[in-house]
Amino acid sequence: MESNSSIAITDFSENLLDKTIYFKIIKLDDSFFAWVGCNPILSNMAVAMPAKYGSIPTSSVLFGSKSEQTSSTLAQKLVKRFNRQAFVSCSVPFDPSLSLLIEKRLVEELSKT
Amino acid sequence: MAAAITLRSSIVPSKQTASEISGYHTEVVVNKFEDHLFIIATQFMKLGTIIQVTRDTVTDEYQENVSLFSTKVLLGKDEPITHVMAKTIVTSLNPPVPVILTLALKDTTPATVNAITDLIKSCL
Repeated sequence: MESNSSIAITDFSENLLDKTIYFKIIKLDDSFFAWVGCNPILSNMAVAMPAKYGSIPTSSVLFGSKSEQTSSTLAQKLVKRFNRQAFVSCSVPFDPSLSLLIEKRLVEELSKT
Repeated sequence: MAAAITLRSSIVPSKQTASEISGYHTEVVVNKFEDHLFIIATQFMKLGTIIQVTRDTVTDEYQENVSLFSTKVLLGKDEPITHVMAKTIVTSLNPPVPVILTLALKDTTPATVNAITDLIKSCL
Protein backbone atom coordinates (compact mmCIF):
# COMPACT_ATOMS: atom_id res chain seq x y z
CA MET A 1 0.00 0.00 0.00
CA GLU A 2 1.42 3.34 -1.03
CA SER A 3 1.20 6.02 1.63
CA ASN A 4 2.30 9.58 1.18
CA SER A 5 3.65 11.87 3.85
CA SER A 6 1.23 14.67 4.63
CA ILE A 7 3.33 16.33 7.31
CA ALA A 8 5.04 19.34 5.72
CA ILE A 9 8.55 20.20 6.89
CA THR A 10 10.07 23.55 5.94
CA ASP A 11 13.73 24.41 6.47
CA PHE A 12 15.25 27.79 5.81
CA SER A 13 17.84 30.17 7.15
CA GLU A 14 17.98 33.92 7.37
CA ASN A 15 20.64 36.49 8.11
CA LEU A 16 19.21 38.63 10.87
CA LEU A 17 21.30 41.29 12.64
CA ASP A 18 24.55 39.75 11.33
CA LYS A 19 23.67 36.31 12.60
CA THR A 20 22.66 33.28 10.59
CA ILE A 21 19.43 32.03 12.12
CA TYR A 22 18.10 28.62 11.12
CA PHE A 23 14.42 27.73 11.09
CA LYS A 24 12.49 24.51 10.92
CA ILE A 25 8.72 24.33 10.75
CA ILE A 26 6.70 21.13 10.92
CA LYS A 27 3.04 21.62 10.06
CA LEU A 28 0.57 19.17 11.56
CA ASP A 29 -3.22 19.08 11.79
CA ASP A 30 -4.39 22.06 13.88
CA SER A 31 -0.90 22.56 15.31
CA PHE A 32 2.67 23.16 14.30
CA PHE A 33 6.20 22.80 15.60
CA ALA A 34 8.73 25.57 15.06
CA TRP A 35 12.42 25.45 15.86
CA VAL A 36 14.68 28.49 15.70
CA GLY A 37 18.38 28.48 16.49
CA CYS A 38 21.96 29.38 15.59
CA ASN A 39 23.30 25.92 16.42
CA PRO A 40 21.72 22.51 15.69
CA ILE A 41 20.65 21.91 19.27
CA LEU A 42 17.26 21.38 20.89
CA SER A 43 17.79 23.01 24.24
CA ASN A 44 14.22 23.72 25.24
CA MET A 45 10.63 23.40 24.11
CA ALA A 46 7.47 25.26 25.00
CA VAL A 47 3.85 24.64 24.16
CA ALA A 48 1.06 27.21 23.92
CA MET A 49 -2.65 26.85 23.24
CA PRO A 50 -5.53 29.22 22.70
CA ALA A 51 -7.21 29.86 26.06
CA LYS A 52 -10.91 29.06 26.32
CA TYR A 53 -11.49 32.08 28.53
CA GLY A 54 -9.47 35.24 28.16
CA SER A 55 -7.36 36.41 25.26
CA ILE A 56 -3.87 35.47 26.45
CA PRO A 57 -2.85 31.99 25.24
CA THR A 58 -1.72 29.59 27.94
CA SER A 59 1.84 28.32 27.69
CA SER A 60 4.15 25.93 29.43
CA VAL A 61 7.83 25.02 29.16
CA LEU A 62 8.09 21.27 28.45
CA PHE A 63 11.83 20.89 29.01
CA GLY A 64 14.92 23.05 29.27
CA SER A 65 15.50 26.03 31.49
CA LYS A 66 12.24 27.04 33.13
CA SER A 67 13.48 30.59 33.58
CA GLU A 68 14.12 31.00 29.87
CA GLN A 69 10.94 32.63 28.56
CA THR A 70 11.92 33.19 24.91
CA SER A 71 10.26 30.02 23.61
CA SER A 72 7.04 30.29 25.59
CA THR A 73 6.62 33.99 24.75
CA LEU A 74 7.17 33.27 21.06
CA ALA A 75 4.74 30.34 21.24
CA GLN A 76 2.09 32.57 22.82
CA LYS A 77 2.52 35.21 20.12
CA LEU A 78 2.20 32.62 17.34
CA VAL A 79 -0.92 31.12 18.97
CA LYS A 80 -2.45 34.56 19.21
CA ARG A 81 -1.74 35.08 15.51
CA PHE A 82 -2.82 31.67 14.16
CA ASN A 83 -5.21 30.48 16.88
CA ARG A 84 -3.85 26.95 16.94
CA GLN A 85 -1.61 24.92 19.21
CA ALA A 86 2.08 25.77 18.86
CA PHE A 87 5.22 23.92 19.92
CA VAL A 88 8.22 26.21 19.88
CA SER A 89 11.90 25.71 20.53
CA CYS A 90 13.95 28.87 20.29
CA SER A 91 17.60 29.05 21.27
CA VAL A 92 19.08 32.33 20.08
CA PRO A 93 21.02 34.92 22.09
CA PHE A 94 18.64 37.20 23.94
CA ASP A 95 17.94 40.36 21.95
CA PRO A 96 14.47 41.94 21.77
CA SER A 97 14.97 43.28 18.25
CA LEU A 98 16.18 39.89 17.03
CA SER A 99 13.16 38.18 18.62
CA LEU A 100 10.90 40.57 16.77
CA LEU A 101 12.53 39.79 13.42
CA ILE A 102 12.31 36.05 14.10
CA GLU A 103 8.63 36.34 14.96
CA LYS A 104 7.99 38.33 11.79
CA ARG A 105 9.77 35.75 9.63
CA LEU A 106 7.93 32.85 11.28
CA VAL A 107 4.55 34.53 10.80
CA GLU A 108 5.40 35.11 7.14
CA GLU A 109 6.34 31.46 6.63
CA LEU A 110 3.40 30.05 8.61
CA SER A 111 0.93 32.22 6.68
CA LYS A 112 1.80 30.31 3.51
CA THR A 113 -0.52 27.38 3.02
CA MET B 1 5.02 -0.51 1.98
CA ALA B 2 6.66 2.63 3.17
CA ALA B 3 6.81 5.53 0.78
CA ALA B 4 10.15 6.96 -0.28
CA ILE B 5 12.07 8.57 2.53
CA THR B 6 12.34 12.31 2.11
CA LEU B 7 15.70 13.87 2.90
CA ARG B 8 16.52 17.55 3.21
CA SER B 9 19.75 19.37 3.66
CA SER B 10 19.69 21.73 6.57
CA ILE B 11 21.64 22.42 9.73
CA VAL B 12 19.25 19.93 11.36
CA PRO B 13 18.59 16.96 9.07
CA SER B 14 15.01 15.71 8.97
CA LYS B 15 13.78 12.52 7.42
CA GLN B 16 10.19 11.49 7.10
CA THR B 17 8.28 8.49 5.91
CA ALA B 18 4.73 7.21 5.94
CA SER B 19 3.16 3.79 5.89
CA GLU B 20 -0.06 2.00 6.59
CA ILE B 21 0.22 -0.02 9.78
CA SER B 22 -2.70 -2.38 10.54
CA GLY B 23 -5.09 -0.18 8.62
CA TYR B 24 -3.97 3.16 10.02
CA HIS B 25 -2.01 5.75 8.11
CA THR B 26 1.16 6.29 10.15
CA GLU B 27 3.67 9.07 9.72
CA VAL B 28 7.17 9.23 11.15
CA VAL B 29 9.49 12.24 11.23
CA VAL B 30 13.02 12.05 12.63
CA ASN B 31 14.87 15.30 13.33
CA LYS B 32 18.55 14.89 14.14
CA PHE B 33 19.68 17.62 16.48
CA GLU B 34 23.22 17.47 17.78
CA ASP B 35 22.10 16.95 21.38
CA HIS B 36 18.72 15.27 20.84
CA LEU B 37 16.73 13.12 18.49
CA PHE B 38 13.26 14.54 18.01
CA ILE B 39 11.02 11.75 16.75
CA ILE B 40 7.39 12.17 15.75
CA ALA B 41 5.30 9.01 15.32
CA THR B 42 1.67 9.76 14.64
CA GLN B 43 -1.57 8.28 13.35
CA PHE B 44 -3.55 11.44 14.19
CA MET B 45 -1.32 14.00 12.39
CA LYS B 46 -0.77 15.61 15.78
CA LEU B 47 2.09 15.36 18.23
CA GLY B 48 0.07 13.81 21.03
CA THR B 49 1.99 12.56 24.04
CA ILE B 50 5.53 13.93 24.38
CA ILE B 51 8.04 11.73 26.16
CA GLN B 52 11.62 12.52 27.11
CA VAL B 53 13.84 9.44 27.05
CA THR B 54 17.32 9.58 28.58
CA ARG B 55 19.98 6.95 28.95
CA ASP B 56 21.20 5.78 32.33
CA THR B 57 24.29 3.64 32.59
CA VAL B 58 24.29 1.29 35.55
CA THR B 59 26.84 -1.27 36.68
CA ASP B 60 25.47 -4.77 37.07
CA GLU B 61 26.65 -7.51 39.44
CA TYR B 62 29.45 -8.49 37.04
CA GLN B 63 30.82 -4.92 37.02
CA GLU B 64 29.63 -4.43 33.47
CA ASN B 65 27.95 -1.31 32.23
CA VAL B 66 24.37 -1.79 31.19
CA SER B 67 22.29 0.87 29.48
CA LEU B 68 18.81 1.54 30.73
CA PHE B 69 16.44 4.22 29.53
CA SER B 70 14.42 6.52 31.74
CA THR B 71 11.18 7.94 30.43
CA LYS B 72 9.42 11.09 31.50
CA VAL B 73 6.09 12.20 30.07
CA LEU B 74 6.34 15.92 29.36
CA LEU B 75 2.85 16.36 27.96
CA GLY B 76 -0.14 14.06 27.64
CA LYS B 77 -1.18 10.66 28.94
CA ASP B 78 1.16 9.60 31.74
CA GLU B 79 0.11 5.96 31.76
CA PRO B 80 2.23 2.80 32.10
CA ILE B 81 1.58 1.89 28.43
CA THR B 82 3.14 5.19 27.30
CA HIS B 83 6.35 4.42 29.19
CA VAL B 84 6.39 0.84 27.92
CA MET B 85 6.01 1.95 24.30
CA ALA B 86 8.64 4.69 24.61
CA LYS B 87 11.14 2.34 26.25
CA THR B 88 10.51 -0.40 23.69
CA ILE B 89 11.05 1.97 20.79
CA VAL B 90 14.11 3.76 22.16
CA THR B 91 15.82 0.64 23.49
CA SER B 92 15.59 -0.85 20.03
CA LEU B 93 17.02 2.31 18.43
CA ASN B 94 19.86 2.58 20.99
CA PRO B 95 20.60 6.23 20.11
CA PRO B 96 23.75 8.06 21.26
CA VAL B 97 21.77 11.12 22.44
CA PRO B 98 18.61 11.69 24.51
CA VAL B 99 15.34 11.34 22.62
CA ILE B 100 12.23 13.49 22.57
CA LEU B 101 9.56 11.14 21.32
CA THR B 102 6.01 12.11 20.44
CA LEU B 103 3.39 9.38 20.10
CA ALA B 104 -0.18 9.74 18.87
CA LEU B 105 -1.37 6.22 18.17
CA LYS B 106 -4.80 4.74 17.48
CA ASP B 107 -3.45 1.28 18.05
CA THR B 108 -0.99 0.32 20.82
CA THR B 109 -0.48 -3.39 20.11
CA PRO B 110 3.10 -4.76 20.19
CA ALA B 111 2.92 -5.48 16.44
CA THR B 112 2.14 -1.83 15.69
CA VAL B 113 4.87 -0.58 18.04
CA ASN B 114 7.38 -2.87 16.32
CA ALA B 115 6.28 -1.70 12.88
CA ILE B 116 6.69 1.92 14.02
CA THR B 117 10.15 1.13 15.39
CA ASP B 118 11.13 -0.23 11.97
CA LEU B 119 9.77 2.91 10.29
CA ILE B 120 11.82 5.10 12.66
CA LYS B 121 14.93 2.97 12.01
CA SER B 122 14.52 3.53 8.26
CA CYS B 123 14.73 7.28 8.97
CA LEU B 124 17.82 7.21 11.19
